[in-house]
Amino acid sequence: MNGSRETDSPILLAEAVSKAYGEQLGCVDISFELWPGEVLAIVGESGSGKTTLLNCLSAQLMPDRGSARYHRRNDGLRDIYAMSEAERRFLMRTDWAFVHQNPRDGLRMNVSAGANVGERLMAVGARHYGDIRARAVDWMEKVEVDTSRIDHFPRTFSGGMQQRLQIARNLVTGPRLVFMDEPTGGLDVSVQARLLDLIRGLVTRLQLSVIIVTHDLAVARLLAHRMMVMRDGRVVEQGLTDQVLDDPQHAYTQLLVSSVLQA
Amino acid sequence: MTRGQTYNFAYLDEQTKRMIRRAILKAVAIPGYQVPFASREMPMPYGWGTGGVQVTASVLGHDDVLKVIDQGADDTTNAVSIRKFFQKTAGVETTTETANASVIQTRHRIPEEELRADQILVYQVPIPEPLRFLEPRETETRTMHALEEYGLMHVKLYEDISRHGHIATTYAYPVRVNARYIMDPSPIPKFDNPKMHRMAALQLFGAGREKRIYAIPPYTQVHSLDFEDHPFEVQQWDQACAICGAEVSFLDEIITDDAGGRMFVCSDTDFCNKRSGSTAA
Amino acid sequence: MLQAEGLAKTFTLHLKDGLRLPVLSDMSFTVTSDEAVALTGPSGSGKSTLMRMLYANYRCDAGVLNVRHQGDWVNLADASARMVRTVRRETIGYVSQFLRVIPRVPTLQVVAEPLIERGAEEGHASRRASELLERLNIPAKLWDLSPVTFSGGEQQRVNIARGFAAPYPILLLDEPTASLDAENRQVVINMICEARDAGTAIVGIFHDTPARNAVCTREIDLAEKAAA
Repeated sequence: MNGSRETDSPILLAEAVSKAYGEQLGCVDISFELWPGEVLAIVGESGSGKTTLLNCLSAQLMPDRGSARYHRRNDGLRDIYAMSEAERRFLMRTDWAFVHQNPRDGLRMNVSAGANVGERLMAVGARHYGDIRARAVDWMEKVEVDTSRIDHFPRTFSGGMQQRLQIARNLVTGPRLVFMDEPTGGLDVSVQARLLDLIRGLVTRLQLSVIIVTHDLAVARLLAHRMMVMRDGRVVEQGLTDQVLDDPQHAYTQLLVSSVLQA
Repeated sequence: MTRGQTYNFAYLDEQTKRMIRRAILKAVAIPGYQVPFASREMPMPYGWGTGGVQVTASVLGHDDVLKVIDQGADDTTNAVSIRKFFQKTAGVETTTETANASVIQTRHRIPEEELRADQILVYQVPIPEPLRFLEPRETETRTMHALEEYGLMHVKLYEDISRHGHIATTYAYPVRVNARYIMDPSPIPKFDNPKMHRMAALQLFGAGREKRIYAIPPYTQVHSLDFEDHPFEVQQWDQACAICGAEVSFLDEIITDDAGGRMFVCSDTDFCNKRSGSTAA
Repeated sequence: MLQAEGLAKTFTLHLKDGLRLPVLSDMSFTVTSDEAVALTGPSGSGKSTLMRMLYANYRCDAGVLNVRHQGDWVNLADASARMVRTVRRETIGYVSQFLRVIPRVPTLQVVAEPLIERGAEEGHASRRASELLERLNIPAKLWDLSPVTFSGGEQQRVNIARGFAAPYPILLLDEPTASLDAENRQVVINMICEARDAGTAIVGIFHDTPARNAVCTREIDLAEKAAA
């Protein structure tokens, strides 16, 4: 656990990533480093370009300019935009994971919970039914989904359960870099708290590097070590989460922070 | 029998046959890969084997002997109609005997008798894409084939085992061809899957509605997908064939009366006839 | 352990037409190990702001803030976010006035977390956490509960336990004895003195004069500094 912590290379290095939709700006000149075990929150209002940026960083969308270099286990920093589609997709089912806001986008609703978790294992060559099932059970326990429901379809699950199942499905192959798009959006507050706590625990225990997009500053405060505040496609402020939230420098960040409702 | 004056040999025009042969050559070169082709309207409805008929029409020569089976039988409507179609449009000799045929068009079975290197087996295929039921997007399934992303296929088998305790898929059981492409063997019973492995005859698959042709060249490795702890197995029967007494063939269950009477007989009628003929003699 | 030179802090309130509130300017001081320094001055003199700057929670507008981290000097005023995290994990502990409660996390885990983040084995970390909670008179039956529903005094003691879990070379204490009863205040004072005597450099704000006198070896008066 300690050994992997102090590597001297970032796991992801973005330089001047830019993407426009015609006249409309998606994101402009985004540069940052993400280090192993670090959780980076990208916050901003809808339309600020944070989802565009996330899609570019996870290579689901090709940027117009810029590079994003990922530190692969074997061969060091490689520009993900210069990789072949086969290499990128291989990353996506091994080293990377993507947790969608809507579990429908990240789960197969018409196959059982167990198969949903097992799919990534089978995709990397697992061919022993008993083993696959045992690992599915193990992961369902980890994310606190009742294991007696292993053969049920996710569409019979509650929203919170679906989201936890999506996380299990993503983490079963031991990814190093996880992208999350508003993972707690659309959930009840109590369900949200439980999910946040779960994500927090997994991130620490597995030493995951995470890029999480959220508009909820409380989520950023709880999960992220660092944050970037985006507005109109640009990063207006970035730094340690508590620094940005407690001592915001930019006018827009001050506005965001002062707009949070206190319960 | 002479061929009808109004039709080109085997119904299709020469350009079309050439186009289809090119698709077949590509399919043979890339075993298990689905080659798109410009499927033509045929004078029979989709689902009647328009893909298989176009493939047969393109490989048929004047000296060929054609056999057509449907569910193993030579005398079902579909088989009879297609046989008549080629008698009329190509004037080729037809047969019901597997050993005498040089081209065999089939729906839902592989003959029991071992095929030879000088024979071609043409399958009629309704849905060529084995990944279709789990991933409906054709753009996505094609990418998955290209990148050999086949985890999803095992998801289907996993679901079978979790629901039934064993792999319950009994027909159209997916195979991996030449250790590369995953292929739908058309709706043949999985009983027939082992026959495809290293078969001496050339196997061609035609899907008319879906406009795809694929192939297994002679002596190609064909592996039925499975799990280490749930290996591939074929169906077995407690009975022997009620007519010929065969214990190694694929049996159909036939209801004989309204009182629940039933018998099991070979689905391959030519195989059964030959055996009962020889035992009778 | 800690060298501040020319630290300055001004808040700019963009939402109030860019109103500028100067709080600190040209702050310089040094803290060595086994020293306990109290920041004093009337409210509004910038004690809490300075404490937060020392933890890099607030940014420094000017100056150098050198911290002895694993044998090297690190300037927290311009260190990278990653370096600040490492310094916070290994070198600087911070006990704030209020516990920032994380929903659903049991008390024992809240306290053990700083050790686990340093890579301590979980059994060892929770043993250390239990010792601290016991010493601070948090009943064992509460350890499995989240401190969300605890009283102010209990939350403050959980917060102190968390701050003392890992042996930081530098400890920042913001009103550690506020809202504690006499018995627990004495426990906390003892803990601080033990840490100081073991060589920890301590910087704190203590409104509670007896506590300040018991703990601190020196005072820095921010009002004087501002005047000077």
